[in-house]
Amino acid sequence: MATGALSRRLGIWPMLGLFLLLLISLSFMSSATHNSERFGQLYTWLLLINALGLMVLVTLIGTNLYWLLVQSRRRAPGVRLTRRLVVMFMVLAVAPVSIVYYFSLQFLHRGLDSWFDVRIEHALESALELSRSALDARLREQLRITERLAEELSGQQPALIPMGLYDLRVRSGAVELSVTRGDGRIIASSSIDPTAILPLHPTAEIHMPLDARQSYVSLDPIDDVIYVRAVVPLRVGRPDEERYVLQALYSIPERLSDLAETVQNEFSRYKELAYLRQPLKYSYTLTLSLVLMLSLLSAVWAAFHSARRLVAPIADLAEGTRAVAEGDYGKRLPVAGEDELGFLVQSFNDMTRRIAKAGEHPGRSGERA
Amino acid sequence: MGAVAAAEPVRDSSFAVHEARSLLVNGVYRISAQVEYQLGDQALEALEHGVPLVLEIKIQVYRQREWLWSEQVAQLRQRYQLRYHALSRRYLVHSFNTGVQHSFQYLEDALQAIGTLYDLPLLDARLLEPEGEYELRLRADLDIEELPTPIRLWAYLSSGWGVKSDWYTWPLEP
Repeated sequence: MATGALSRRLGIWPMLGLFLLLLISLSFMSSATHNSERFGQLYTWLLLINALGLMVLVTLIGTNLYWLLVQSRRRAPGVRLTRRLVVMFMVLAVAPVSIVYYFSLQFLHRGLDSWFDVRIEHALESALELSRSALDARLREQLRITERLAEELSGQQPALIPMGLYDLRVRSGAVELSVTRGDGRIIASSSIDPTAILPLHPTAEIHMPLDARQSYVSLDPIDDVIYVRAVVPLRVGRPDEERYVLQALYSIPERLSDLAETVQNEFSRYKELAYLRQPLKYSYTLTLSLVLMLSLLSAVWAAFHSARRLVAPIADLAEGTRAVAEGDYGKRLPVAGEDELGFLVQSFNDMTRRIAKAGEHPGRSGERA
Repeated sequence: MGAVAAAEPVRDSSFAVHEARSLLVNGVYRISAQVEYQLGDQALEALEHGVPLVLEIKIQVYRQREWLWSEQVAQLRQRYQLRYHALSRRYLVHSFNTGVQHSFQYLEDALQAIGTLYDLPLLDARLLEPEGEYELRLRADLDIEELPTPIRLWAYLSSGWGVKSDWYTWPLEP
């Protein structure tokens, strides 16, 4: 009883608050799906908040259903009307929401599919291939230059290598030249950047082709700038001596590097989006379904709430008229508001009061008649 | 369809710590470790499609107490981002701790580089109590929180994504 009184006093405000909270968290969730950076970290929490909120709604509806069941068993006055009103409100709310949901889902899936076009994918792949072939000629040229440098260096004593390296670097136009031993230890290096004391090490895999005494050249992205890295085996001293490696890093013209990087980034972005298409569809469907659940459950709760409020004065009136029919004129009903129903209840109260008065003084009324 | 899927079992990722040891050098504990990363089909597919993966090695120092549970005294996280660079057909490894980026032609080399910790300074010996008994724990995992939002939810639910190695524990000795 106490909770009933409390909920009557608070009215629909807590419910409205919950509804708004869920609505806001759902809109955050849809932003998070669209753009990971903004609410991405909150996604799991938002999902939990929504699940909890919906559970609260389900519990409230369950309580209302239980109440209706108990009232039906007791054949309480007004219960049949409540039932009919609840069903009517539910049908009125559920039908349009479901139709909107169905069409939104259709639009969503078709919209997402239309983002991805086989022709765009082909165009991007071609652009990437074009960039590669534009750089390929440069790679071969720079490998050739590095091999020539290696020829100049071979035959020299290891101790003499550091002296000629600066000169070789300036002549070849390399950003960085270094000579390392087979185990990766640097014996000499020269860099265009005077602050760079150590060259960038050749990575483990660069040694692999060298084991087969092969030269190696590849593009190497370093901090979002594309370089060309050429690695060539070096014969120093006697043939049976330890192997050495000449490593050269060349920059490519800024314009070419920028264009290639743009193509690479857009290709990467498109590939990622295309890969995420199915999960993206699921996530949007999930968010949309949560919105549907929120709308439906709120509508069902609102149906119960309105039906109970509407039926309460009518049930009172039904009970009141039954009392009058049984000869109890002392029955007064609680005033239900200022609408027509309130007016009806007021009239009923006036009527019973007059009948009761007439019953107390039957003579006077007879005299007047 | 079902028969085809059953014929080709999906390979899950698996991470394992093969070896880890600590050494006291000039009053600072340093750690070396070897972690083996094997990416499963799901992770590989994502990587090839340009989704960056964040791999993390977590190192914790615990002080053992007689009556109570062990107390954590220090934690160090080594985080690496691994992504595929389509233009150069190379794998880029970016260390969040040092800001240094390396590129590799083969994925195995990139994973080996991420899985190799060499002489990593962990903590100053002065911060530890001389009589205390300490234990080190090390684990490698794939950070689901860094995945793009649309796959994160499925990553939570599927076993292919939430991959962690077992904790590798060993006593911290001077």
